[in-house]
This record gives sequence, C-alpha cells and structure tokens, in this order.
Amino acid sequence: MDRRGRKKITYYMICILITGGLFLSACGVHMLHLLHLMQQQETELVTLYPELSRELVENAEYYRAQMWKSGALFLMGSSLVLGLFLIGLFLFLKKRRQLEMEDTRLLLEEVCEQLEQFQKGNFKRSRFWTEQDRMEEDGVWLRISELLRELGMFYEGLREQLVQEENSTKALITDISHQLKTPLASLRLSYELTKTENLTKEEQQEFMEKEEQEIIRLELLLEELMQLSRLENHMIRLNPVPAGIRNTISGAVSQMLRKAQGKQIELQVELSGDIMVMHDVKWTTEALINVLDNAVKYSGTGTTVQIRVTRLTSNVRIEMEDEGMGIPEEELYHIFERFYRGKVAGQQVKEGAGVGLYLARTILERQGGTIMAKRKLTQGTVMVMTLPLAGDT
Amino acid sequence: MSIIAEIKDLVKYYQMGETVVKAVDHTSLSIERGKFTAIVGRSGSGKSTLLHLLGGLDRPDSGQVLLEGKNIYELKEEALAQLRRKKIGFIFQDFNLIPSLNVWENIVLPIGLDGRKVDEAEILHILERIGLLEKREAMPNTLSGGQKQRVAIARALAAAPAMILADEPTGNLDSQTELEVMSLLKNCVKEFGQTLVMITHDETIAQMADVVIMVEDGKVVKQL
Repeated sequence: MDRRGRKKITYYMICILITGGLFLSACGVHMLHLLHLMQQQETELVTLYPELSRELVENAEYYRAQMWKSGALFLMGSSLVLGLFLIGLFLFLKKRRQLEMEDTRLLLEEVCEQLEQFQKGNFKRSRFWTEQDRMEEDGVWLRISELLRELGMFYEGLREQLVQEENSTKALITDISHQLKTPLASLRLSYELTKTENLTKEEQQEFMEKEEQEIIRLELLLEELMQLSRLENHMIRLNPVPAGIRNTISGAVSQMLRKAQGKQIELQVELSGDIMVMHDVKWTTEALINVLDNAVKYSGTGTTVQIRVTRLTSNVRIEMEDEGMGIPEEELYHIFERFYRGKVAGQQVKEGAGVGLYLARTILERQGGTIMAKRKLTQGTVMVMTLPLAGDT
Repeated sequence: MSIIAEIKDLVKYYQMGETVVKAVDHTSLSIERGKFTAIVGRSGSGKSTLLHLLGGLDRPDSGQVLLEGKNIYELKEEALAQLRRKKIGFIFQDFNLIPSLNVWENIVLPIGLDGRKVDEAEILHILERIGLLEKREAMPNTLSGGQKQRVAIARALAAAPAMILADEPTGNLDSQTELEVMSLLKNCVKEFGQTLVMITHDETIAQMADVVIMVEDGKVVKQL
C-alpha cells in the first residue's frame, strides 16, 4: 500500500513535469520564431531604408531586449507556478496517504480490540460490524470483519454447547433421582407397615408381594436408566455394520412375544426376503423392543400389532402399527422427550419412566435413522422408522 | 443455545380485495444455530410468509429480522440480495432447478453467482452423500421428483450458508419418497453442521425436528 502510494506520487510528478516542460519549450520555440521574424523585418527595413538604418537597428534592439525580458519573466513565473503546484500536490498526496494509513491503523486497532475481547471470553461483541459503511469500499476489511464475527460465533457456539452438555448431565442426574424416589418411597412405606403393625399372616404375605413387585419395578427402572445414561454420556459407541434386518426384527419380536401373549396381542410381521441395513444389531434390537413394548403396553387385549418392513431407495422403512389408545395431537411432539409420559398413558399404565421412545430415537438417529409417530384416523398409532440401507454409500 | 436468527415483532399484512390478510401479525421467534426447526401450521396460517421474511425474500410492514445479529431489512436491495446469496440456502416445494443446466451446474451456480471459488472435492462429497454422483451430468428433466429435491438439497448445502430454509420440501412427493428425502435432509443438515428451518403442515414430518414452532393466524401459538 505504502509502496504503491509512493509510486503513484512519482508518476503524477513526472507527468506534470513533462507537461510543464513541453509547454515551456513550446513557448520558447514560439519566442524564438518571433525573434527570427523581427530579425527578418529588421534586415528588410534596413535594405529598404538604408538612411534610417541606425534608428531602425536601435529600435529593433530595444524591442528585442523587451521581448527577452518579458520572456524571462514569463519563464520564471510559470516555473514558479509549476513548482508550487508540484509541491502542493506532493503535500496533498502525502497527507492523504497519512490519512489512509491512519484509517488502516484504526481498523487494525479494532481487530486487536476484538481479538482481546475474544481472549477475555466475550465472543458476542461485534462492534466491528457497525463500521461497515467505511469498509464497504474495501473488500478485505469487510471480509476480515465478517471472519472475526464468524469466529466469535463459532466459539460462542462451542462454549454454549459445553454449558448445555453440563446442564443436560445435571438434568439427567436430577431426573434419575426423581424417578427412583417414587418406587423407593412406596417400598419404604410398605416395609415400615410390615414392621410396625400387627398383621395377620395373609396381610403380611400381601405386603411382601407388593414389596417384591416394587423391587422388580425398581430393578427394571434401574436397568433402563443405566442404558439411558450410558447412551447419553457416549459411553456406548454404536457400531453400525451391514446386517440383515430380518434377524434384528425377529430378535426384538421374540423378546416381546411373552408379554404380547399375556395380553393376547398378536404380533404380525410382514417382510419378504431380507434387507441389508447399516445398523448396530444389539442396540437396534433394543430400540425396536422399546417401540414394540409401547405398542403392546398401550394396546387392549385381543388386538393386533403389525410390523411392516419396506425397502425404499436408500432406506429401509419399518412400520409398527397398533390398535391401541393412540397419541393425542398435543402430545405428538413430546413423546420422544426424555421422561415424558402422556397424560392418559400415565394414568392407564403405571409401569414405565418415559424412557423407551427417547432411547429408541437416540439409537436410531445416531445411526442415521429416523422415527416418527403417525396418528391413525381410527384408533391406534403407526410408528414409522427408517434406517439407511447397506449400499454403496 | 446460540441464536442464529431472530424475528422481532414482525408484521406483514396483505390487501385481498376488501379484507386485510394478517399473514404475519406481531410475531417474535428465534432460530437456534445447528438445530432443525420446523414451523408447523395449516395452509393460510402465514407460515410461508414468515419463512420468506426470514429469508429476506420479502419486506415486512414493521418489525425486525436479525440474521447473526444484523437487521437484514436495514440493507439496501442490492446488499440484501448479496446477503441472501451468501447466507441463506433455499429449498422449495417445486425444486426451482434451472432446466437448461445439468445437476452439477445447478449445484455450483449460486457459488459462482457469489463470486466464490468452487471446491470441487466438497461438491463431489455432497453429491456422493445424497447419492447422485453418477447423475451429475444429467439434466433436471430426466430426474424423478425425489432426485430433483436431492439436487436442491445439494445446492443448498454446497453454498455453505448460515441457514437453510425449506418451504414444504416434500409437498410434491409421494409418502415413500417424502420419507427418503426427509431422512436425507435431516441427516445431511446434521452432518454438515447446518441450521435448517422447514415449514410443513404435516405433523408427522415435523416430529423429526429438534424444535417445533406452531403458527396460527400469523402468530406463534406454541414453541416446543
């Protein structure tokens, strides 16, 4: 920038000097020509009137001298003007360069200030951006300002992500303790009643049974929570490999068979051939069990749960359709949240902590899959899941 | 969470014959960076107008749209167009591909318009991801609806904008293709660290989103 500016000034100077020089030499040539004409006239007059030659020569001499004088004056004057002009221009350009440098310095200072703010951990500050008007003419500054802003936002995002992760861990701990509290309290109550009251043998037996149930519930809950927290804290790395989906689905169905039979719910599977799907078999089975468990849990006795598997272009679609109680519209966007339980669902079925669908979603999405709940026009729900095919991609 | 875009007390009314349609009626909302936000509402709820205003495609009657903290409607038309090209990717229901250009050219066009250099390796990566690597020389009229929308997704991703706006992206597709395109869109957006705002009237599709905003009569009624 500096070198370019100096070059420019030199270039201007040379141009002006050449122009001035040419102008002056043109004037000089013109004067010489006039002198030459005068000389000719003098010679002619002297030959015509030899008797007046002395006066004529004197006269011509006088005018010549005058001419030289005015020529010299003109030369001096114009040189002076040219010189002054050159000096003025030089000063002006220098001043402008100084101003430009001052501008650059100011902008650099702003960059420094912004970086200092970053260092202090203040990533949101972006006063720099407001200087846009001045920078609009200069693309580089605009880009630097934008890059700085983006950098700031990137770090801000990172920091917020950290804070969020910390908060979600805290929330998980709170949620888990909250989930454990209720069955534990009920167990304690039952235990204390058995201990203090005078009970008949039958009553004691009844309490014992209730306690056992609570213990089983606690164990199940603990199992669910353990899985959840392992998955949440990335202690489990899902390892999707190409594998047939038939095996995975039948694995999930066979684990649910007893529970379904207990409610006389028929599980129908529609799958022609096998489809190779990228998935972690163990955890995908877990996800399917969770979805299937919900279907069975919230369906009446004697109903049917259909499982349909369709091959799409780049995904496999797994649909689980039940004839159960369905999901109210206002709960549709909440069912995949951690520890969310539907209002009616919670009243009807005591068991469950609202972990299943959340777990299923987490597992499927970590493998590039999706899960959605479709409300049927009549009773029931269709859970639609996708997983990427094991193809060339 | 970090906010990438914000709408503040936005108003947009239309004159339709005698009646005034309040397409956006004193609405405020914010879009989180790196998240998939779905704006859900019935047709005529003003969700399209909201998206257009968010993307700088229209001008509001009053109110502000802040993109990365900057009020975009303070900008002059030319600067706004430039910002739109650079910062916002659009995916429309009817794909909006240019019929005389092939897949590759359609994808790199916005980058070229913006005067940026095309990172060929990156485009190839995107094409491979959306499964259209072999179709890169194909003309749009030889593609199916699902494939066309994949090209539009690739086009939006390739320009690496701050935010991708999708207006009923699967509105013209059958349910199977819809599922495919949506799962691709969702996964790509996550993979490339993009922010996606999508409007839809389909409550099933909207469940894929991280954040759901419900719109009714030009107002945000609920944010989940």
